[in-house]
Amino acid sequence: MAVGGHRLEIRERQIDLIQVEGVSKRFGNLLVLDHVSFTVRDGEFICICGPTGCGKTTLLKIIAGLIPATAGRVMIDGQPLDPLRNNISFVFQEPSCLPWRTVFGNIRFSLETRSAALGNTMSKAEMDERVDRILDLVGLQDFAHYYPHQISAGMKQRVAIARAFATEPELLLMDEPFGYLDVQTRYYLRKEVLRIWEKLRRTVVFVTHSIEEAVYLPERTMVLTELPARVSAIIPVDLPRPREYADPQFIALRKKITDLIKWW
Amino acid sequence: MNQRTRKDWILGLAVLLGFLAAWQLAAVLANSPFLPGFTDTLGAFADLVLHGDLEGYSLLTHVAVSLTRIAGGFTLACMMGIPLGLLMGLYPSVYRSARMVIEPIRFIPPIAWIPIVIMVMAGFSRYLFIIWLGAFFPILISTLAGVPRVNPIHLDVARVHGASRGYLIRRVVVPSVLPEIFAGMRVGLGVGWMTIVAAEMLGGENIGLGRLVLKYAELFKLDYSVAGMVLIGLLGLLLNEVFIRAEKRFFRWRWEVTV
Repeated sequence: MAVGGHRLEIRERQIDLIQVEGVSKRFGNLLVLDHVSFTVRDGEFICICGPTGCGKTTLLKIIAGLIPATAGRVMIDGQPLDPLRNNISFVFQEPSCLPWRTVFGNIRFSLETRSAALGNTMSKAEMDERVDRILDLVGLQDFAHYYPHQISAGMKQRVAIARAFATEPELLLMDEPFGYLDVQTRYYLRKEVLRIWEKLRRTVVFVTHSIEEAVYLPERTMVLTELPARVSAIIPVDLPRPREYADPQFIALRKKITDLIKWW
Repeated sequence: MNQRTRKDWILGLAVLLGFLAAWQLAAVLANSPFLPGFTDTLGAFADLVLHGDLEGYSLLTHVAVSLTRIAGGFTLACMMGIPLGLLMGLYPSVYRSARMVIEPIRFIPPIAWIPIVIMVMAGFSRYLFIIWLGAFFPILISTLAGVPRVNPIHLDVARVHGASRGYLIRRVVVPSVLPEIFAGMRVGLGVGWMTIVAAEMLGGENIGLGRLVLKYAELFKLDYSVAGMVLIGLLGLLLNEVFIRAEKRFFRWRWEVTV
């Protein structure tokens, strides 16, 4: 479990894993995020939803430590994020498979990187075994030795998701991971991500501009305003699972979020 | 073989035969010892293959010696060009500050260096230097131009998992730039090979393909010189072909292969 890194022994659902405290981000004269504050509980699935271009991706990248905040701070387990102590993964909106590695090699990459960063904590055999397991989980075992250019966009995104899950992260950040996909694949992968989440129970922060996704997937949805983004509302989504898109409660909640997000 | 490649082959062969016929015709019409025809060249080539050159060195010796020299200069060019290219790509300020020196030197043809090389160098180092000059810059420039094209998302993928700077360079930057490095090596090898005659002009030894061309030119036996030239051309083509094959093999993950 060395690659798993630091974890809380008691996984109480009420424990906050992430505290975002008054985060602002400015690119030159453009204020993108304006004092955004919220918390995410350990093991929770939360969606961040808002109009396109409202700074959702920026917020997620600040949480991941990929870009610095202009003001405010992000605390993970009560401390600033440290990629060595906190085991996090990120699924990018853009295609992110390494083209020179096979499907197998791409999924292995996160394990190799994490293991190297922590000082070779994982043996090659352990990594191979873990990759095989995650290949089964996402149904890619037959494509293990294909290169990214030989598989479809949907499969590539599944590889990126599998790579993110492979390190068994305590926190999984997903940035519109289904944005570029066709409708069928999107429906399929939504179910997949839920299935994996229900199995592994990791904390997931899922950015989307699809209101449907924001009702279908999470336990709570945070709605952001237009630029500069502020928290508009945080809405509990306590519908029973599996959720049905045509369920009246589903539709009612979708309308509620739509009304909050409306910019037209 | 499909219809198209077959057609290409036939057409290619027809153009080649047409070229050889035109060459032969020109030689016959000129009827001059300074313009050997295709058949003269072929005869000279056969003589070189069967009996070696006039000093008794076999053609294979000439080829082997030239290839060794190329291998030396080319290896040196790779050993310097790739790390320096990576360094300058990763730290653009290094390139910017060295630009005023590198860029003008890059455009001095290897032949222009010959007088100075004769003065200050001796033996194998002369070949090494001239061939290195030809091969080094293409390798350096394509490596350094490849680094900024690394996809930033690929770097972020590694950063999220706590990758160190060294790890990013080894596991993301180098594999990303490898196709560019390889393309630079292919061009560098070609340019290095083309400097072989210049390099061997000043070696003072009697072996090497460049030397062979010069040796017979001094005796006005130009059919032999042309045979040597053709062989240099064909070997260069072969080296390039080997490289392209290797590229296709190594970079199967790239669906578009540079040709």
